[in-house]
Amino acid sequence: MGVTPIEYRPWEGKRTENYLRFLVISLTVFRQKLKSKWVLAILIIGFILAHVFFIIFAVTVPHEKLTPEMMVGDDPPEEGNYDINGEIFVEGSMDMGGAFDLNGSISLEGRMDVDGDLIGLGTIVGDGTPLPPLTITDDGAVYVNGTVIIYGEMEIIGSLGGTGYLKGNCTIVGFGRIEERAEVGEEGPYISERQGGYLKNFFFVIFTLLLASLVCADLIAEDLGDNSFILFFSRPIKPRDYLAGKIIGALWIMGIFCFLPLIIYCLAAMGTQSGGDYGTSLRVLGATIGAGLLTTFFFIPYGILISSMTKRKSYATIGIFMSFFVLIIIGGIFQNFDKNWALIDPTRILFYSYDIIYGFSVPEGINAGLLGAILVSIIIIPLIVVYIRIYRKAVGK
Amino acid sequence: MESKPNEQDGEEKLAERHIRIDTHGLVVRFGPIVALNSFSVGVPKGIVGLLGPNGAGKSTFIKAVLGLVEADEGTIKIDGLDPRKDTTQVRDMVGYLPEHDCLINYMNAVELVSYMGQISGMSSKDAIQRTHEVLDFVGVGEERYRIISSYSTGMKQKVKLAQAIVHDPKILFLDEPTNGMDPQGREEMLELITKIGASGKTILVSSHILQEVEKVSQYVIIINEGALVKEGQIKTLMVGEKNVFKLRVRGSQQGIENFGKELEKLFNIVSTEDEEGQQSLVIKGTESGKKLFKLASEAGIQIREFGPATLSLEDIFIGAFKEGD
Ligand SMILES: Nc1ncnc2c1ncn2[C@@H]1O[C@H](COP(=O)(O)OP(=O)(O)O)[C@@H](O)[C@H]1O
Ligand SMILES: [Mg+2]
Repeated sequence: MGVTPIEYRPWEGKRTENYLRFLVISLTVFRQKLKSKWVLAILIIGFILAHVFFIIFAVTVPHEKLTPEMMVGDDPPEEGNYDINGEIFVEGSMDMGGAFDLNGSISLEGRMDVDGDLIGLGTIVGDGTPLPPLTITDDGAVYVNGTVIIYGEMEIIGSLGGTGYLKGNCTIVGFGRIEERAEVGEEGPYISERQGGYLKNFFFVIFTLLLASLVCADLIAEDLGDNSFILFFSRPIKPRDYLAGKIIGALWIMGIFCFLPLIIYCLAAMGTQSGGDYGTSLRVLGATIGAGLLTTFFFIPYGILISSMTKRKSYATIGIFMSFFVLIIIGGIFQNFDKNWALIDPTRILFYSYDIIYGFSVPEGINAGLLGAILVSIIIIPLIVVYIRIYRKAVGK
Repeated sequence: MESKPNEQDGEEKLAERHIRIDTHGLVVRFGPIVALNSFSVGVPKGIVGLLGPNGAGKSTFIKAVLGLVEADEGTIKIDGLDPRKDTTQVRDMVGYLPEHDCLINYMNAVELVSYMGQISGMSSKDAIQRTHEVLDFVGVGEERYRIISSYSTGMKQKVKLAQAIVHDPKILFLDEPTNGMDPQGREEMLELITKIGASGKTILVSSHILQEVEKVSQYVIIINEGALVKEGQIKTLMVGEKNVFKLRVRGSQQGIENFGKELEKLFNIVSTEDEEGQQSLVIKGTESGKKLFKLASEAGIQIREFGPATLSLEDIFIGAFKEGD
């Protein structure tokens, strides 16, 4: 094909206002994202798992009004509640600071102290006396065949063994035989949080995280990889507008998953409420708007930061997702030393922020001021860093 | 920042509006590398060639003028505006075809070009209409609906040109527009540039290929190692300067050497080039030719060729880089 016989023609149209041009970027981001199979898949699957069931519950389960507990869960259980569904075999001694549910059996050859009620369908076999409080005098081992969930504290003087699960607040989490002399301090580091609630459902968190990873990953990584950066910055657009354009586009997508369904949930619950206390319901709706906006925005700055550090979209996706995971794990481990380490876990930051938004207090042992500071910095610092990185790219140094 | 209404002022006024680019003492460093070394130049209206070997600083110059690279020293004025301070106004009137790959790979040509048009201030309706117009103009056919990552280099160059002209800028910067294209593609690209030039724009075309620049531009700026070597109308450059002569002598090594020493007293020796038993010289001076022949016979050598030097662009090019060394 040769050159077309067409001559160059000038364009004589009118230009749009400069300050609105970042919306062009937002709109393009939004459209491109909605074309992505992965984003669509996460949106659809996530919607079903994280929202649809809850919305159905909200409509079908009888309720007087929309309560904050429906959103962020009930008060935490009293300290020292235990759940035993397997078998505990105690040869040494075991001190329990509260009540427990026993559905399995406890074999005792040693000593076990329980400072609360022991309720359940299981059995206790052993040399000790199966009475609450329970005292086994001989030193021995704790043997686990089934599952033991301990929310309170557990003191083991002897050894601990078994093939079941022992779950709890102490460092002893797992299965199989643990043959180690362990001692747990007086004050258990377990954080007693609000339990349940729509916003705290596992799928909502995990899919928000997945979606944020996918949406943020190529926001900037792709422009760096393609080198298309230069196309933007040779045009009348400032780094600020570019960044705002990208972020707002990403927010629209995140809002589809993190904001809209919450509002639908509230409206559905209010539409089917049996009582007349619409004041409370409206307050919850208001808080939900806040919580929804927070969730929509929460992961974006951090995700964009990671995205601006690599030219590969896939690295960015994995990097964002994995780094969140690592933070969750680190938070989980270190909270045993100080509860406030939990605040390194972004999901905890969100959950505790929800608690505050809905008018509850943060769990005991968590510093609300620190929570606020971390929340602000996890949003602001990445934004500043990204802005500086983009600015430097745009001016070529 | 206010955006100027883009009403055309009619043919005569358009011709009046000389958009000039002037830089003074421009210095750009990348760490220890001095990419532009006190570069002062005036780029006139029309198609202007920016000629220089790889690494000469052509791309850096264009980026500095666009405000994409920060100048360490010096001033830049585009139509009286400073690209660093009046960034938005300057960028509203420029189009840029970058040297390297820069297209958004996951879009098709229509999406990309109209996207860029909108960022440059076109409404989405205008942008789409104009996109089809410029894609027709550069010769991207039905492929325009295919994703860009599937394009050949030649097609990509055409799309790069299309995005540079979509908003009908007054000034165009084309950085090695024929980069990576086959000979036919190059021809087409040069022809497109000539056509755009006919609409009265300022177009700066950088290239390291002399013949290309010769084809499209009347004015050339030669740059080497970050410094201006020569600039001017190609015609003027080709005529050569007054009192510059080209001379070829033949004789013994000793004879040529002696001749050279004597010659130096009368003329300015611009360049010498030794071949076997022969030497070509370019000299500058007002002495008559007769003296030359006298010197030659005294030294016992022959003058094979003598006349005013008419330099081709190639000579200037080669000479320029020698000076630069
Ligand atoms: N971003 C950069 N970082 C470091 N050096 C650079 C950069 N850009 C250009 N240079 C150097 O500056 C000089 C001029 O480069 P450039 O303007 O690209 O030359 P040209 O376009 O004429 O080939 C070269 O030595 C090049 O290596
Ligand atoms: Mg270059």
